[in-house]
Amino acid sequence: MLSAAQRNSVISIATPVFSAAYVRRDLRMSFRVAVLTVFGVVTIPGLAAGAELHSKAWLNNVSTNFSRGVHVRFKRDLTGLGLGKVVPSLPGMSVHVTQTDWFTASIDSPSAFLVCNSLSQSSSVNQHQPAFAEFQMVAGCDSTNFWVISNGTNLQFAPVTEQAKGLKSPPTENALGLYATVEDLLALGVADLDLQTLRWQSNRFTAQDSRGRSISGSVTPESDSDERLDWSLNGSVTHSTHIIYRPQTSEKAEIPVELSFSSVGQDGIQRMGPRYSIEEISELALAAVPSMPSVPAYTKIGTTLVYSNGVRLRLIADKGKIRKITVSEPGNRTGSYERTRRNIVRTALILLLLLPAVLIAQKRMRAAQKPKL
Amino acid sequence: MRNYKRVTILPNVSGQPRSAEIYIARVFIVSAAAVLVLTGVAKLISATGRSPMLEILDPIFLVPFRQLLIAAGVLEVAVAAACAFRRSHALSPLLVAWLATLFFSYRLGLSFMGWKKPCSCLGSLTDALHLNPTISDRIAKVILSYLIVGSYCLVIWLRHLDRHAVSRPT
Repeated sequence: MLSAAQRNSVISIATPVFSAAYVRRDLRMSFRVAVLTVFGVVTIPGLAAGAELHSKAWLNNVSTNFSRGVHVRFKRDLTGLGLGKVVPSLPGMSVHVTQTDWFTASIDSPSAFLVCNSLSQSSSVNQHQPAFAEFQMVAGCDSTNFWVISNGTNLQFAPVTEQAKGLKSPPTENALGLYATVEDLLALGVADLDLQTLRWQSNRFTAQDSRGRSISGSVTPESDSDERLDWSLNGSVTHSTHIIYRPQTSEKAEIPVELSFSSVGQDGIQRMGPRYSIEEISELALAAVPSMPSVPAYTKIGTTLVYSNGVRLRLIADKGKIRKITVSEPGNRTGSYERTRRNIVRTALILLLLLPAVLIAQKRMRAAQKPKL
Repeated sequence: MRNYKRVTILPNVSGQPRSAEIYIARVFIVSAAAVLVLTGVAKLISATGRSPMLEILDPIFLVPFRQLLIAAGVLEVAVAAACAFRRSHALSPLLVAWLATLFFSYRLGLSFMGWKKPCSCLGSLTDALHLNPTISDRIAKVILSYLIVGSYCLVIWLRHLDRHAVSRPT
């Protein structure tokens, strides 16, 4: 299988050869070069995709020891593909099974990038940014299939079993719809929260940690996209966590939404999630939306996502797909993205790209129709 | 039956005098080919890089920027080769005009869609020269303007010559 650089080299060599052959009026030769180039460009990525599928299937077999239909792979960063499994696959990573349905992985490498895929959706936990390290993060691949729970540098992978599903608050019973669930609790830093004891009643919950201390709390909506999670340990110290949701892309833009937290600790200091400039958010949104298969479970149609730095991102959906995104920063610039506009621009560009071919074909047809004298 | 004389701006056609216009036209085509080779190769080299930007999807064609850079680079090199090696230069300005219009429309489309980032049209070449993205974006705009204005002027002029030749049977 050729690397991207080698593939580019093939194209770079083929193009001048094609041009030279065409210039020399050697149409047969130029046709052959064109066909070979197209064949190479089309088939090589296909081979790569096939290899990846094969790897996924292999991973699936491995992970079936732990859950149903879960694919796990690790990437060192966006460029180097290092397939992972449930044994150490990255330098500094250790994986061990803690319970029958759980396994944990510790990643020491600050550049580690984790991607997990379930059958239907996927999520990622990015350890790139040091800011993330101080927050506990949770990402659900799918509300019924798979979670990734991060506690600092410790990552816990929790395939949701039938038993665990029973413990998870059904979205309809949660006053907040699909938002705050058991993952949010774990994100609070109660890494040893005993899931077996977790009980939801409407938007209130009770649970115990591994040391038997009681935890109780509630989730309150603050806006369309924000929630506040208040909880207390042994009924005394109260913690408050503000949950916001922001879009995030994976290497294939399969992951439109990732949870982000800013929390107020006992010391009263608000710890913010990573800050993004308007351009970055716009870029993420633009990159994420086109391949978004449907509105993800975490977002509500017509939602305005408000970020910790005041940036607002409004999603307007139509027939289950996000049609328009507007991004605005307090007081100044705004950006927007519309699917319709993109389609218009793309069609115009494709037509323009094909224009010479159309003109040549038209000219040849005219020439063919002219009677030869 | 009328005989038509095809107009070319080829300077080495025997018996044809070199006018200033022909010289300018030839300079433009050679310079356009040089510029296109430079930018095309820059794009192809950039496409082999490891910038995270290359993995982001292009908002118009929905392919990663890496693939788009490869496609654009190949197109530019091909047009440059056609400009440099074709004996009849009548097609060269048309090709340059087409490519420049394509790039111009792409930029216009990005702007129409609200894309605010500078276009990384010159790839990582400008990074190597330690130019900031805004300046490299301006350079790319200047190059694009040069190609558009030059090629369209040349196309119009050639049309004019062609019509003149057609109306004057030999």
